[in-house]
Amino acid sequence: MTLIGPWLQVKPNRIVEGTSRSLAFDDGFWGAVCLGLWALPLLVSVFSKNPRTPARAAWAIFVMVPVVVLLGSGAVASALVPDGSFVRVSPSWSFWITILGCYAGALVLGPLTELPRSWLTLGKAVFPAACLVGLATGAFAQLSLLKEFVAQSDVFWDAARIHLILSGVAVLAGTLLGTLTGWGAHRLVQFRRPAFFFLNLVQTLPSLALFGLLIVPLAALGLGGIGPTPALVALALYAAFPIARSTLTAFDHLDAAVLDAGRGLGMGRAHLFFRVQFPLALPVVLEGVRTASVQAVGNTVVAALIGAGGLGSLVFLGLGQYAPDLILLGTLPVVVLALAVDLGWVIVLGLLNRRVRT
Amino acid sequence: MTIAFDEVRMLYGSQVALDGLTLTLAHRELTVLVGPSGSGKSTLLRTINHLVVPTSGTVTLDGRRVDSWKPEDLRRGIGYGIQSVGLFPHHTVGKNIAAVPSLLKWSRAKIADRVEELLVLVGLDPSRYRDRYPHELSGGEAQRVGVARALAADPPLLLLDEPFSAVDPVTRLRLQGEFLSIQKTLHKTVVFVTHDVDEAIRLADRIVLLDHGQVVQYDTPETLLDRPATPFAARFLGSDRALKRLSRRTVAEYAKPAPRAVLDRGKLGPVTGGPSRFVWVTDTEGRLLGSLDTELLTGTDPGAVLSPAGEDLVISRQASLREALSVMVGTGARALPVVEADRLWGEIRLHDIEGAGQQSALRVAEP
Repeated sequence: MTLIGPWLQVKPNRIVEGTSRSLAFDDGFWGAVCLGLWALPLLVSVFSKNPRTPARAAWAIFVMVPVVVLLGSGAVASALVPDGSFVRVSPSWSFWITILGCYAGALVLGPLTELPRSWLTLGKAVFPAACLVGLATGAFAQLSLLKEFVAQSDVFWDAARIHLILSGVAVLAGTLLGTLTGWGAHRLVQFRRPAFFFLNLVQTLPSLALFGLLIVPLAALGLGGIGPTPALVALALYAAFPIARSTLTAFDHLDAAVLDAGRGLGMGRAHLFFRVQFPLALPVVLEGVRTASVQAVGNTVVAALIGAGGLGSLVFLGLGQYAPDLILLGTLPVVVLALAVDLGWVIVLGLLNRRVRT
Repeated sequence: MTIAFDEVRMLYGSQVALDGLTLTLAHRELTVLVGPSGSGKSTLLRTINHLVVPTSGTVTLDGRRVDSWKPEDLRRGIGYGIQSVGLFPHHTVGKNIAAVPSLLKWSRAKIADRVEELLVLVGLDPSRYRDRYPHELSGGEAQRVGVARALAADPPLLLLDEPFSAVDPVTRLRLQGEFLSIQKTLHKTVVFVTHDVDEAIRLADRIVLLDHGQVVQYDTPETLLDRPATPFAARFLGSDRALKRLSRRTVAEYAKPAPRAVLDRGKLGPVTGGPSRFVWVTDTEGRLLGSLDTELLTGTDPGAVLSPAGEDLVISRQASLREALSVMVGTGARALPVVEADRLWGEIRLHDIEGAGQQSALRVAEP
């Protein structure tokens, strides 16, 4: 079906409705390549006696097809768009469904292939690598998203910078607030309920409503109801919750015997905290910071609505102008950023946990 | 170090943990606090290093009140080991053992030497274990490291709260044996908490039997077993007190020279070590081959009437009389060969073990 469905849209310019192209009827070469990709693994799995081969073959197809579709779209766009014209070629739903479907398929089949971990990691890295190669070599230069990027590049980099700063500062402030709240709740049981009631309440409010709610009190404080300040306050409150939770869990679940031993060996409060409690709690606390920072990258999109800027401003601008490319230009980097932040934390936590298993 | 408790009371809310307890523990002795759970034994131990502050009463070490020290300084001078070991999971074995020395700001070289020395002492190869993390250790190894950590700064006093209770019975027996031999060379003042009567009897120089926060009896294990002070004490020690008493005695104390003969190239040598119908047969090196009944020895081949010695029919010199008795009851043998390092050393007879048991039975009958 994805072969017949529209994979690319060709529009005379940025706004006007365009015509669809399908892999089956319009770009037969790339359609044939996609089909051809199925042939070899299928043949191998028909003749192989290894019970793992069908899963491995399917996994290989799911890894390779998105790359072909991606490179194909770049190539077709380059062929269709003369230099300097306003013609826009953008991926359509067949394109997205193929990539998402293959990603999901590869994810599900990965464990069934019983391939070594390094192979599976390599498989996951193929598509991002193809994206990077395509971008670097200019193979995608004629795709509409890239044209939009070139047209908006000043605005884009500005928005990206603000986005990073907003979410970064929010996570820092949220970490401070969250760890202190979590630690306080650990030490003082009476503090636990009110603190978590408040942070829970914040979590249940939609972010837009929270921005609205903050306008009045912040304006009263003379900080201004719109702009980056209320956005930061709201984002930090959002970030504080998972961090406070994980901090409380971390300190509540420290092994009582280890603490008793520390005290019994003659560690004072400071020694016990810095040599035992803090290092043992740190990985769990950082799990909370990881959750918070991924959330913050996403939440910051909404901050654009109260004039804080960031990649969200591109999204809302695109929505206003009905320019899908602009929406994508705002959304895709947020997704990539969130994934990158998560990956970063996975690496940091992996290094931290490598030796200690409690 | 002499530890004195004077009228020590400890209340948790309305619950009485220690009920006006007065007791003095002797210098350089291994005192075991034993009692049912809730008897206050752990609480009593923890008043010594001020982890538990009594509601009233005083605890003194060599006459000085424990609350006259800064708690951290007091504790750094006392070795401390606990049931679940409580090793720091994020520190290597070496760093765990170095905990107190580094709090005392010893030099790096001195700490490294001490860690090495202690690992050897508790029977762990330093090069293999120093850089391991606690999760890479077996239960027995972790308990050994726990003991090494307690001994690290060479404290004159050692507090151990059920240090061997989290391992399997076989490992526990081995750890107890190793700890006893360490104690024989170090002669620390040790206070050891356990709920296991057998462990108490095996290890203790003196036992404090506690119930409901009070001392029921403070005596050597022998006296405790022979003359339990109250019906509770008798019940707690169990109806097999005579058997438990046997576990304090080694085979070596009661073994006699064995009637023996050497079997060399199919020829039986003369019987030495006293006349006997049954003799133990060894090779020329003194290794036990088996036993034989001399009345059956009519033919030319002594090998034909030799009943070979199975491994479960042999007892080592260091074993307790209780183990020897157990082997005899289990196999029906009335005498067992005693070996040391594979060589026949003597024999132990059921009759002699009965004698040891009856001694204590007689004493129980005393008023």
